[in-house]
Amino acid sequence: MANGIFGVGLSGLNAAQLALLTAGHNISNAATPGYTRQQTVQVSSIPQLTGAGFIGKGVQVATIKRIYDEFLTRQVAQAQTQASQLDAYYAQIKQIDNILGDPSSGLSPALQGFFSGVDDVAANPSAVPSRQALLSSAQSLVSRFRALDQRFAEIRSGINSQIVSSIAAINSLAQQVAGLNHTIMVAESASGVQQANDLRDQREQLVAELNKEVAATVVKQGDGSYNVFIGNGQALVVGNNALKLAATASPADPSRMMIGYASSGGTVLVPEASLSGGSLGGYLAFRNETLDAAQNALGRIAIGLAQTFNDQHRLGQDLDGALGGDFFKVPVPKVVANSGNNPAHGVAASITSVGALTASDYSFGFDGTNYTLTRLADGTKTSTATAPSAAAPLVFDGISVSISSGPLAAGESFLIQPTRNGARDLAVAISDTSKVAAAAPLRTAAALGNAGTAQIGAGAVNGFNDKVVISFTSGTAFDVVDSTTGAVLAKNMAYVSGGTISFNGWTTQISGAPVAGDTFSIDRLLASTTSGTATIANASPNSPSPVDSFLTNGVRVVFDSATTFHLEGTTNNISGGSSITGGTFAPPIGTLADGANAGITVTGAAAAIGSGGVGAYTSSGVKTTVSGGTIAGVGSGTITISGATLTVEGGSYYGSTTFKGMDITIDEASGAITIPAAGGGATASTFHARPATAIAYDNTVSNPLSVNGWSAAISGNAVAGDVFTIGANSGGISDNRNALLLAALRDSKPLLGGSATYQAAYGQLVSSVGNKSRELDVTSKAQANLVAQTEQALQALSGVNIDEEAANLLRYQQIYQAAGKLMQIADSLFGTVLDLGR
Amino acid sequence: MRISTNTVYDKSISTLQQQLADLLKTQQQVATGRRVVTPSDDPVAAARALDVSQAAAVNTQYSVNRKSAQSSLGLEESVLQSLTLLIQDVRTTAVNAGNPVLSDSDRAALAAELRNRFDHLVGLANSADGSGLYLFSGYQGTTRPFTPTATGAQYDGDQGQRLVQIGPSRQVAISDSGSDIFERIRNGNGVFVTAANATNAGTGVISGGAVSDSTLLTGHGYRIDFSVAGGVTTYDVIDTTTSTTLSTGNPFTSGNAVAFDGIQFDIQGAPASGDRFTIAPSGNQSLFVTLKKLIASVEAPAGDAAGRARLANGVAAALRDLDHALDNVLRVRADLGSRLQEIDALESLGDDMALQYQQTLSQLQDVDYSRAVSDLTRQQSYLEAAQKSFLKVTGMSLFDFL
Repeated sequence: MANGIFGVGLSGLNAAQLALLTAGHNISNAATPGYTRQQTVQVSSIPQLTGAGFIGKGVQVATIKRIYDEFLTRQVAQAQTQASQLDAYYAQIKQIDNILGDPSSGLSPALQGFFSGVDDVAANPSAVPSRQALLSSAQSLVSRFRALDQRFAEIRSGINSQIVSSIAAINSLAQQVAGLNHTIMVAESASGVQQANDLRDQREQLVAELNKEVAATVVKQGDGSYNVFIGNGQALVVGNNALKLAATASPADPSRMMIGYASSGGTVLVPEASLSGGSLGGYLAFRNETLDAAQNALGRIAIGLAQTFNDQHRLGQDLDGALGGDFFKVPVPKVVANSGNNPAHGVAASITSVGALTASDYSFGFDGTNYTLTRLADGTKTSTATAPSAAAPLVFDGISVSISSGPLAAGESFLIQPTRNGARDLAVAISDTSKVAAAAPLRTAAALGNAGTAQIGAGAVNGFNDKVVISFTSGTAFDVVDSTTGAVLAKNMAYVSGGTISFNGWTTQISGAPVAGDTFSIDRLLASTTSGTATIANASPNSPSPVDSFLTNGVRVVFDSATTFHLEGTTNNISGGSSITGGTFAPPIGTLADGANAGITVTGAAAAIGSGGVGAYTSSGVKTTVSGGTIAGVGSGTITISGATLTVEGGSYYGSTTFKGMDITIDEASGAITIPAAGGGATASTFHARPATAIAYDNTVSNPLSVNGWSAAISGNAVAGDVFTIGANSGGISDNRNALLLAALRDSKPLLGGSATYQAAYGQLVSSVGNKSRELDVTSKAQANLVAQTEQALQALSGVNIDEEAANLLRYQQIYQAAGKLMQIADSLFGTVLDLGR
Repeated sequence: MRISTNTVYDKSISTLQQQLADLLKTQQQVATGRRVVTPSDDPVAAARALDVSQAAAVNTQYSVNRKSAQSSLGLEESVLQSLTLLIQDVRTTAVNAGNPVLSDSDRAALAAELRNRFDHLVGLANSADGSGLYLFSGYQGTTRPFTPTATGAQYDGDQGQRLVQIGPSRQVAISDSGSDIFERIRNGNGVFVTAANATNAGTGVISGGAVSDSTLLTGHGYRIDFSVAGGVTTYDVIDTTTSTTLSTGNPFTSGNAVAFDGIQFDIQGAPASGDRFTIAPSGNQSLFVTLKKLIASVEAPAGDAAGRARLANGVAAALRDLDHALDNVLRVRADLGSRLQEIDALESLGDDMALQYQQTLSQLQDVDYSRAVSDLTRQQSYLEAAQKSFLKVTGMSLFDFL
């Protein structure tokens, strides 16, 4: 009996001791991360059947169980991996957010300073200090671009090293999970049915930590081990084995760290999109969604500013009287060959339209059939079956791509980053203050003797920014209209397939068989057509300047009457072969050799004046006659004319002239031939070449004249004999017209498809980063709350409560003491029995 | 619900963190005075603030431009003011010189004075600004605009005008070309010029004339040839452009109107036979030429009646041309004045705009201090409460009673 009581007491004593141990263990591990509280599971021992019924035989501890809920644990891990991603993303984007919006270190103040510099030059065009201030402010704008880009680059390289350390952490965690899988299996198989509670807690904690690095899912195996998968089911831990991840440079872009499986044959890349969650997911998402776009957007502003500023600057004239050059060095697109390409093969990319540029990167590849250019941001593609060449490049989103050395093999690809290095590579191209082109290269004047009240505008250089429309009136003739000024540049031009067509500072070719009604347009050098039968090439700017070099000779506008005028050259320096195409100078004045001021010599039997059908020179005998546009009969083939004023007008001569060496008969019956009364001295003759056609003038409107890259408007009442001149602006150092136009760029909208100023484009960048950053701020806070809630739920179940354990300690202490008392009673009972024998 | 000890700590700590973060943010707003410290605080306001600050900077720049325009125009105005006085002086001298009682030597003294005036005029026309750039040479700041010649002065500048951007859509000229001020001056009466032949022997003095019927004007040149036969003075009118004789043998009476082809003038005195007067279409005559002609007229001997008539004709023509010159300078000055006025108007508009931008910027990004400070106090008391309650909650333990 007493034996039984001893047994029961002992079992109680043991059970209480175990429970006390467990409570103590709980208390000790209260703060251990991942620890789940443990409880002893007590059951009463199998009772003994007696006649009196079942007699209890005390208590025994069946197991020590951990209070664990798999569902809650997974929920915490899931919430945590999201939270880690958002936190990592937020921490990174916050850095960009801070620098972009700073009122002193952002781009805005530098941009404003730069345009103030331009304004300063506009106010004092010839002042060297103002020009120096402009160059300095340009330099500081460039430095600001570079500093911002440098910061982006630092963040980018920071991302690369974060990825490396994150991969190291993932590998170490995976290794430990695999190790614990093994240890737990060994331990549990040794114990039979008991679970290795603390080891399992440790493994669970490792999985939780893994989830902080990258989203990981766990699949529990029958033997109790965990298989861990990351991303879209990429195995990381299988049983006792951990697969090793490696950070490696992208084959498409060596400067970009990517993630792959390390294997003996090299690294097998894991698609970035499949890796989400955790800080690694946060870094990757930040790099893809924000960093690339922000750096590209900044580069796009730099390129846009440099290109548009240069375009206008080149239309100006510097202090030395030369045409403006490049003000900025325009960054060029970055092309990276895939590491798998044949190193000899190459692709060239250039920017054709800054307005069309996007903030995306592009990939250009050949699949064996098609050459495809893909916008990486959204996967939009454009492709061609013929290899793009420099002459016929693949143009997409404002970039033009051609194969510089090939042919490409199937599978070769190139990464094209049009704007990535825009901010980094921007530079000021000039350092000499006199090279700032503040003046316009032309100026206009009304002759003092003008009797009419017509006025001429200051004149401007069009460059190739004006849209020009070429419309065919028949299969063989076309008209050209400048659609910005509305000026007719040429009428009834003869069409030659493949012939050069040059207006407003650019040159293009039309080939094929156009029909009446076909139109071709050139807008910022980009050509388009409505024709189904003829093609037009993209225009190229005339080198070295969009402004016709003929401008140095000047143009006179001479009114024949109140309603018509002629355009003439202002000097007699019409050299052989010089021609004015476009405007009303067509057809070109042909082969007039210059004989300096003493006269003009026309040499050669077939020398032509006005080759467009009027006034061809032919030789037939001893006399030269101007008859219906033809001078015939130059015996020696040479006519020498010296004297006062001679005007050649499509085969007619005006002039008070002494003709030497030849008699010239003028056939008055052919009409329009006049010799004005003798006038002027014998010195300094001036020869004005002019086309036969007069231009109609309307005094009720402003009449834009636009020839070869410049334009000027005449308005008001003119009378016959009024003369206006448009000539070179030599010595025009106080002229600020181009500086004003440069300053006006501040308010122009050249970016984002012609919808944004530089400032607005930057504002868009700031606001998109700010919005994203704010979004992350809000979502990461919400996610942190979710983590806290799920963790609280888990803690409510599994967490240790010290007070509870204190109560347990008291409870089991009392049980222990009671069980001890029981044994004491059993002892005394036993003693009673022993005492019986005394 | 069961609470684990960890939860008690974690929860309290995260609450404390959150409150501290809020407090810090408010503190930062108070310290910087800005509600939007980083763009993410209010992306819309941040982007808008960039726009507004750009507009404000541009507005400031326009104000700087206006100041510069004002100083350029002010300089030009002061030169033109001197020019006005000079022309008035010359006019007075011309009137004096026309006084027939003066002797040749008296007039020589006046001519010397006029020569000085001419030099002064060249000096004014070649005025330079503070940085040594000529005011009236158009675009060619370093080109000396006027070089005196025997008959006037040669203009080497151009007709360019420098513009300054003084408002978002307004450019104003801050210079005028010398050609416009000194050269583009109509002579005669603005339509035609009357003149007496230099070799006239009679005492005929021709008036400036006027247009009697503008519809009949031809724009041709004419000459009036006088002949005196038997004490009767007659004249012929010849169109020199077409070389046709319009009328012959017209009887002449001193001071009676001579009219043809819409023009009308009179000749006073007694022209001699063979005297000739010309009428030419009006053109532009530079102030220098006018002055040189006046000097020549004043310097020429005028001892006899014919000489006095020449002097009278010359001075009368000069006075007419000087009046046109004065009108022209006053026209330019009026234009200048209106430009200055516009600049002033835009300046006050610009000041208003600056204030407006300032307010908008302030609304967009500045902190409301009273609110921020009250927030700060509130958050501070919340934080203190949280800290105290944290101590209370964690200070409770069953072990204290064991």
